[in-house]
Amino acid sequence: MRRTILLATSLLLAASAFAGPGKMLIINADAPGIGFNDPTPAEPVGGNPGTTRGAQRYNVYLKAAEKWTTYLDMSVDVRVRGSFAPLDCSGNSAVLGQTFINSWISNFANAPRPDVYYPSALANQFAATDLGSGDDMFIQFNSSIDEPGCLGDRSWYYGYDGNEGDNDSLYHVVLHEIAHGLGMASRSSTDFGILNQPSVYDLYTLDLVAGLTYDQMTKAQRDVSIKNTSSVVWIGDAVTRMAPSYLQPLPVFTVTQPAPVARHYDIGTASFGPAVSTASMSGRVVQATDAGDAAGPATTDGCSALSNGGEINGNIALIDRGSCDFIVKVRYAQSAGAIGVIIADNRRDTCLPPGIGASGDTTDITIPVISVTQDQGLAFGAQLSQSAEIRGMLHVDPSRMAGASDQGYVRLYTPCTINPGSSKHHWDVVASPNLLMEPFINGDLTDGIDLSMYQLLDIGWTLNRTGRRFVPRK
Amino acid sequence: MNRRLFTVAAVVAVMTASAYGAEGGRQQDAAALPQAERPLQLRALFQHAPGVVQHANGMLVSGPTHADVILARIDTDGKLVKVCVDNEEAARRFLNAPIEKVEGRKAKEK
Repeated sequence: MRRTILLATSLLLAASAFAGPGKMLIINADAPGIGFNDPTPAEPVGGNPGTTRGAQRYNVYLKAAEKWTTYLDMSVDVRVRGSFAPLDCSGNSAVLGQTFINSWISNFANAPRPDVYYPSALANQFAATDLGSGDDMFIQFNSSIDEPGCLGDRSWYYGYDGNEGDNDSLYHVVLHEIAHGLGMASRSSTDFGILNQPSVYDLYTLDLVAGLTYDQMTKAQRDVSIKNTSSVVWIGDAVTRMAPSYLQPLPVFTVTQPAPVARHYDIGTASFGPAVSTASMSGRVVQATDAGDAAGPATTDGCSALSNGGEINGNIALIDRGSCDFIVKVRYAQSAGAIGVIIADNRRDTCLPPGIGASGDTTDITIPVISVTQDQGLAFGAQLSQSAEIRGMLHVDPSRMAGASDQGYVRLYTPCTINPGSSKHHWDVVASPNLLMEPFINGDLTDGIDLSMYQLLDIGWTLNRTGRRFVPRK
Repeated sequence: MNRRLFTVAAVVAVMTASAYGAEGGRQQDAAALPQAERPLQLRALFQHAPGVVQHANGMLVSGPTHADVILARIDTDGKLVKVCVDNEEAARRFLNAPIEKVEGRKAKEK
């Protein structure tokens, strides 16, 4: 009975983001009175004209669908089954929502490649007909966010203008989830099942170390690759061609001597001090030492006044992460006359250098601050303990992009340990500026679809109105 | 019946029966807690058992294999940290780690 009601509701309330050819249908799967149909009065907000909570929720879905439909040709309707439900929530954490591709299809009429799975929304476009697999994706969000006691009494923000404050903007999250549903996803991270059929996403996922795409690898090779930080990239032509338009030049720290550590290093940057794009930091790297005390038990953590200030003066201070705030370490180093600070990470969960933040007034910091990974910091420390002289300089390399490999391929997120963030189905978190399809959905997204649209073009979607299709990879 | 149906893929979730028992026990206990203190129940979000249907023309249709789940936590500065995960282990790691140690794009103070 409930199923019948839901079906009837869906048929009545399905709406399209765009009139005419190229529709993304938002199927309202909620029962009367809840979710999209919640009658709670609401004031229009941030460009959303809805006057009930349910209408505002539905409008956000429509707005996100409209965004994608504006750019992508959908000659066959894309069916998004949407709903709100009371998912898990506590005072400080919550499940915001979930999405999944309802069907993966291979060996359909006009399939570009045999024995390769395509998300049904895309398979339908290639086949120029609905292949009959039903709704293409399912997207559900947590209605409890709007209830007291959930996430510290925050609520969903249903505007489209980015003025969510401490609340949670639904719009960017829906944009993100729809992109997964359209094809920023593969059927499996590494296990292609007993038929060993890859997804179209895997054809463009290259491990630079192995020199193989995921469809060319064995499962054992993929299991290794999925943790190969910084070395798994997207090789589609559209993304690669457009990356320079979206990604900023890469700040790097280049060590010129001694030979064992001489190379370019990707770095983490700080939210305070001079910007790395303009900062000058060139010279000798010196291990900062301080007392092992209550402020910080290690003699290399920089949590107390530096004991080798004379040596630090005029040089770059190498300081270990941990025990006290970054800003404390940097102030001690600056007081000792350091021309810059390198923070060596004390953990290797992501194998990426951490971002360096601080709260409060940091305008007193005048020297650049960067970070390197724990392994890199240990390598520096090993050289210094052998009395080697490390010399290096901070600079922006205009030939490399923040978030791309040296070859110009945009990197995928493959942390070296199991870490928050879907494996390989997101851009790497080192991309700058932030991209919609990074695992961490950041609040500073400006253009909601950025490089992610080109990823969809690479797998076979066409630009709306042009009919232009990037040639699928052979 | 012009198509033959066979299942060529099995349950994605690899949790053992004992693990389910433990989870159930925790869930019962958790139900008595006020909402602000309840741990999140995650397992069902990641459980999919995709079957594959082969049509007479050779077309294969597979059901959903995994969900992309968006989680949120409140950071020490009161801002929300949101992450998209596709497996339970990553979800638990995000939810259980001290919030100041959650490594995201956002810069940390320590």
